[in-house]
Amino acid sequence: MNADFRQRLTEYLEAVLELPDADVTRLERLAGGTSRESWLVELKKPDGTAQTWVLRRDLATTYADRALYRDQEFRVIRAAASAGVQVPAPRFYCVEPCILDAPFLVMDYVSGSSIGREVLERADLVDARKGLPAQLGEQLARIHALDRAHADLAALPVPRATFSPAQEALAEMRAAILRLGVHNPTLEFGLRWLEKRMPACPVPVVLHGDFRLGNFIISPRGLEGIIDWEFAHVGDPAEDLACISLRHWRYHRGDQSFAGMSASAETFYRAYEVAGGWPVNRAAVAFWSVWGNLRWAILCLAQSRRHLSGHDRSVELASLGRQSAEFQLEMLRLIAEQGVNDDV
Amino acid sequence: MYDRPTLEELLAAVHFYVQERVQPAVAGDARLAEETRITGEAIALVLRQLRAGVEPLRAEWQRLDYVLGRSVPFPADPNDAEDGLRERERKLCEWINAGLYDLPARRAALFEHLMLNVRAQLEIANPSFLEELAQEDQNRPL
Repeated sequence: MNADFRQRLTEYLEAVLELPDADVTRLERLAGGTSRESWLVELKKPDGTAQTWVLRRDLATTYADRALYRDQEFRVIRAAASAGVQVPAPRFYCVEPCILDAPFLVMDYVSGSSIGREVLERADLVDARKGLPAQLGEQLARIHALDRAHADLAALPVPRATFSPAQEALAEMRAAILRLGVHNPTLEFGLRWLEKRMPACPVPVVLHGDFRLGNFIISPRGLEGIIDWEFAHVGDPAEDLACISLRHWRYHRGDQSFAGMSASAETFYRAYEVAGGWPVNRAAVAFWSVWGNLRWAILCLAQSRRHLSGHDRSVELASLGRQSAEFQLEMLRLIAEQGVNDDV
Repeated sequence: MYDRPTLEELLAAVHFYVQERVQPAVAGDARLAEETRITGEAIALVLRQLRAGVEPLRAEWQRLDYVLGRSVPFPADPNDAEDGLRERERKLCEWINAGLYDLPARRAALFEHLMLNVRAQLEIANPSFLEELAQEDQNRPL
C-alpha cells in the first residue's frame, strides 16, 4: 500500500507543482491522530533542492459534525498565518478522494515536538516551557482577533440564529447523545446543570476549537506552531481559554492545573489580555471547563462507535469508549467545586 | 466442565504475551508500540471486569433503588442484570430531563449516585486514574 501511496502522491505533486521527475525521498507515518493520519513527506526536486512537508489525511470516517473539511481548514490556517499567528505554512489541499483515498492537506514541516508528555518532560525544553504561558496567551489573542468577515473564514461554523455560543454548544452535545443512542445519566445531568448556567457572550469570535497541549509544536526555542485547526468555529473566547487547562491534557500532572505546567493560568490570562484578548470572564471559563469534559466524554463514546460500526477497526478507538468515564468523573468534580446546588 | 486454564488464567496468559513478548518486539515502531500498549490495557480491563463479577452491577442496582425511589429485586439471572440496568438508567435519564431532580435535596442525592457510579466504572476501566486523583487530593493544601 505504501508503494502505491508514494506513487500516487508523487504524481499528484508533479501535477500541482508542474514539475516532472519530482522524487518523494521520504514518506513516514507520524505518531498520533485518531481521526487523521499525518505523514512526513520529503520531496526532492529535479534541481536537487529538497522540501519537507506534513500531509494530513482524513481517516475513513470522522465523527464531529463540527469538524471542518480539509479545504476549510486550509483556509483557516491561511487566514491565521496572514494575521501573524504561528502556524506551519499551508501549501495545498485536495478534497478529491480519488487521489489518496481521502481528502488531505499539505503544510510545511516544522521541527519540534507536539507530543504532550514530551513537551512537559524533555529536559532540553525547560526554557521553552517557561515562556509558553505568555507565548500561548499572546497567540490566542491574535486568533480571537481574526476578522470573521475575512473571505477565508466565512465558512466557519457559527451558532444558529438566536442561539448564544453556549446554547449552540449544548444543543450540539444533546444532538450527539441522541445520535449515539446512549442513555447515560451522568451525561444528562451534566447537560442539565450546564443548561441552567449558560454564560452570555456578547461578541462571538473565531476560535481554534482545540487549543491544548498536543496541538502545539515546541522546540528548545519555544512555540513553533499551532496545529490541528479542524475544530475551528465561531464561539465564546472562554471556550478556548478553558480548553488548555482540561485535566486530560495535563498528562498526569493533575495538580498543575495550567496545561500540566508549573505556571498559573493567570500568567496566561494576563498575556492574553495584554496582547489585546477579551477580558477573561472566570465564570464563563468555569462553565466551558465543565462543557469541555462533557464534550470529550461524548467524543470518546463516538470514537468507540467508529470501531463498533466496522468502519475503522481499531483497538485504540474501541478502548476510548471506556475512557469516557475519566472525563465524566472530571466533569462531576468540577461541578462539585462550583457547587451542585449553587443556583439555589 | 472445561479443562484448565480457566477463562481468567487464559486471558492472563494472553496479557503476559502481549506485554512481555510483543511489546519489546515492536519498540521500534511508535504506532505499533502505542497500539500494543493499549491492547495490554484492554486485556487488563477485561480481567478486572471478569474478576469483579456481578457485584458492581448489584451495587449499582441497589443505588438505583434509592435514587429512583423504588425497590426492584435484582434479577435472579445475572445475565439479565445489564439489560435491567440499561432500562433503569433510561428511566433515570427521562426523569432528569423532566426536572424531577431539580430540587436541591434530590439533586444532591442524584449527584452522589452518579459520582459512585462513575468511580465504580473507573475501578474497572482505569484504577490508576482514581489513584492519581486520590494522591492529588491528599497533597492539596488545605
